[in-house]
Amino acid sequence: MPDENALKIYPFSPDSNDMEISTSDALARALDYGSLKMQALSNNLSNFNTPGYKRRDVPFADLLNTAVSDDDPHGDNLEKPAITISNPGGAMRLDGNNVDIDTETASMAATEIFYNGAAQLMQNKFTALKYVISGGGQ
Amino acid sequence: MGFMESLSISASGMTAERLRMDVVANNLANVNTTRTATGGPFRRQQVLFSSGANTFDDMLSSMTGSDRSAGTNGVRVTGVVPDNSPMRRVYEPGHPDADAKGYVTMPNVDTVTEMVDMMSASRAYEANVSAVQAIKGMAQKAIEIGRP
Repeated sequence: MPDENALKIYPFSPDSNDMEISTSDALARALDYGSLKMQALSNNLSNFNTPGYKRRDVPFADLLNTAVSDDDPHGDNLEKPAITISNPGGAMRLDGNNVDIDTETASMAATEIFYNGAAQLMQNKFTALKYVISGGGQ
Repeated sequence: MGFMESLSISASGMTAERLRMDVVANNLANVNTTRTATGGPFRRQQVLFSSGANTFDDMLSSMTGSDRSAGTNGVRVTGVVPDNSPMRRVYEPGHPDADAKGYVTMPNVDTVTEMVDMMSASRAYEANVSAVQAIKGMAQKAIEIGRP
């Protein structure tokens, strides 16, 4: 079980019975993850020619595995996602830099699609909410 | 955290690569310069990059395996330093800067190396530009949340 004092992404804890809040909360976390990952990837690209630089990433698989194994589908007890140094030992180049420009670009495209998808879902959420508020479009 | 930080990281990469391009252009322009203000032939210059990485915090976290909060501070140009490799010697007795044996000391600029450097800088710059575009697209998408 994760530490109870682990950093939460948001100070409020969503009521798990309240699906409305939980969905948009989960989407907000997804968006945060996307922008954090983008920051790590853009840092990798800007240091493409820096000797000895080790690439950064935000490990998603680890976070997902933690959530699944702890039976925590909403990720309420997840630690805050952080930018970490991934694979500090591996380097294909003589200067010790392990940034592979193809991997970074592909990962960046995937992150962009992921982010746009989450943002679209969030938008749909608000559109539906607005539709209901206005009395079904009357 | 945020898009503005990501944008400034990419901007630092673009600035660094452009400076590298400037230095390459300067090297190529002076490939045959035998007289400089400091005397002697032109000496090739190269750019030193360093990341916000490899700070004590980064090393500690990578060594202890607790790797939390790795820094993302973009790239920084540490300096433009001279290349201390030996100069080229060209036999050209009629040259005004030739020595007693007729050899002229030419700059240690290798055009092939400079070309490779130039392409590397150009590609890296393009990669940073595409990063900026991706970040812009994401920020735009975020703004559209809640738009009717």
